[in-house]
Amino acid sequence: MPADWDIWAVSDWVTKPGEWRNEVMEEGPEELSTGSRKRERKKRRQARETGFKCSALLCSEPRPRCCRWYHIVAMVVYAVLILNKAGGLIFQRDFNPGLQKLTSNDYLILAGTFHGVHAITSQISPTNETGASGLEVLESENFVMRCFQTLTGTKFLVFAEPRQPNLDVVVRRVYELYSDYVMKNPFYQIEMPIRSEGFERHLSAYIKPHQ
Amino acid sequence: MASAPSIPVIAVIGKQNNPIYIHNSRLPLPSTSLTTSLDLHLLLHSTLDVFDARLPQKTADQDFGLLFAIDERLAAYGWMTNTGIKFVVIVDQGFSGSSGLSSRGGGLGGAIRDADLKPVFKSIHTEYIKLISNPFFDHESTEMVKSNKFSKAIAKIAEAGIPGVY
Amino acid sequence: MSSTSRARLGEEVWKTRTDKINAELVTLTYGSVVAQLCKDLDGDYAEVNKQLDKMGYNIGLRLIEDFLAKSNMQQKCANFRDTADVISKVGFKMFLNITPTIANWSSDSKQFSLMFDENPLADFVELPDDGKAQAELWYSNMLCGVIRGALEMVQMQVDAHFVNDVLRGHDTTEMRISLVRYIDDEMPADDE
Repeated sequence: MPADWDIWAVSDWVTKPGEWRNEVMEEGPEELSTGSRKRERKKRRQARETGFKCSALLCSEPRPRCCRWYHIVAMVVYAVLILNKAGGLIFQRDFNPGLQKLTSNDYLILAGTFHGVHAITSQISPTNETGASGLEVLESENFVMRCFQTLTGTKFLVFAEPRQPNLDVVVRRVYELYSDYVMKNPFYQIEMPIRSEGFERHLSAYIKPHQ
Repeated sequence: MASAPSIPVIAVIGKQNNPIYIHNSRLPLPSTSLTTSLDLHLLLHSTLDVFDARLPQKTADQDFGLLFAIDERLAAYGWMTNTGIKFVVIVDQGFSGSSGLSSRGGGLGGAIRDADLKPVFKSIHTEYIKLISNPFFDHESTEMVKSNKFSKAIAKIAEAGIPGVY
Repeated sequence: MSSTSRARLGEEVWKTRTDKINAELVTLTYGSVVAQLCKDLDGDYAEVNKQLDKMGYNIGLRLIEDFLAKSNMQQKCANFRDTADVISKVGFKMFLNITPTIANWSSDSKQFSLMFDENPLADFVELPDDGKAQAELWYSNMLCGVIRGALEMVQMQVDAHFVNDVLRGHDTTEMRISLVRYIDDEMPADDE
């Protein structure tokens, strides 16, 4: 249990009355009645007493503890970057005020470099499976970076706190938002930098409440 | 010896009282008042007066029911959509046997009640909607409709007759 | 992924992850686009086909992302036959709720036909009776463009065109899709 203990500490902190609501709204059905909210809270209390037992209805994770609180409650995402298939940076957004600021040129270099590294890692894969995915996770002492490359070649990079679980879920959700609010905007020019208010708004709505 | 009522004529008339489509399968009918196609046109023309006359009293309902009986065999029934499109159905009750009259006790038209025509008009309406949903349909045109699909569908409705009345 | 599990995937995405809108609205919108094009281009149906294909292409470039995000496909198709299966069972299912049949494979497995038993875009449609449209206009040509654009984004250059259309009086609606080549765009040639 000690390994998970800090997560639960975070969970206690987030589940203060007011803040708890956002989190349920995000994943659960939107029109939760007061009754079901109470039930949810009760389930939560029981789970805390009885140990780690998944109580989330939509939980598809095989692990016995509740992935829902796990990945939603303790989510600290630092930044999201999107690279087009040529390695150009088309979107960059910080979600944490304490981050080191880079100039926009530095971000472009970062993106280009990563693109190259990604291409190399997919070429030098020691296994001889075809279609190697290339670099997916990069971990350091202070952050973890998850890269998701779509079949069309667009890359989504999510920077988060180390040991942040379920980053793949986060990155896929960002991809869905991108496909909805960026690609479906008829005035967005493909492969060009993203200046979409709707996308930014939905992205922060997804990431911010859990910070 | 009453034979089953049939539908020899279905006419669709536009908002400006312009004929949009006229289906006549069995005309001219001998021994009735409809022997030439001119008769038919005059007749349809006169139905328009009935529509106009009854319109002020109409509420939301689109069914105009029996417009008038033409002779002892034929009767004209009408329906007007809220957009002013009129459907006229002429019903042939077969040879006007007395049995039909007494058993169903209809109005002037004889054995058929207004409500019997409702499904017929509904299906005409549906077909008309399909017709105007065709993106190449020209709404401003004053010419008669030439559409195979529509012709076939209307012919089928006329063929089927009045459901539930034999 | 087997063919049946693809069918299930298509069904599931359609049922649970797709926002639905009224079919008539789509049909009428598409219809008025085509009719307006015909009017604007003065009945130059070859040009209409071209414009529809272009519009479809632009849709395809965007729609592929939605397709990948919603269907959660992570694996590249192993071969072109797989691709055909995915297009029919997942792609068409989730966007139009139809599953065109795949038929007429060429011997080198690079060409196939999609047979449309139903085509929601062409409900109500009768081609204009001007003697030309019946022979020249491919009413649903936008679909070709969509497929071409979408496949191009996943590194396949294809050629798609209709060969039969019930609107023209043929027995079936058939789209022919042929693979031109796999695009290798991971590394631009003048890199370094």
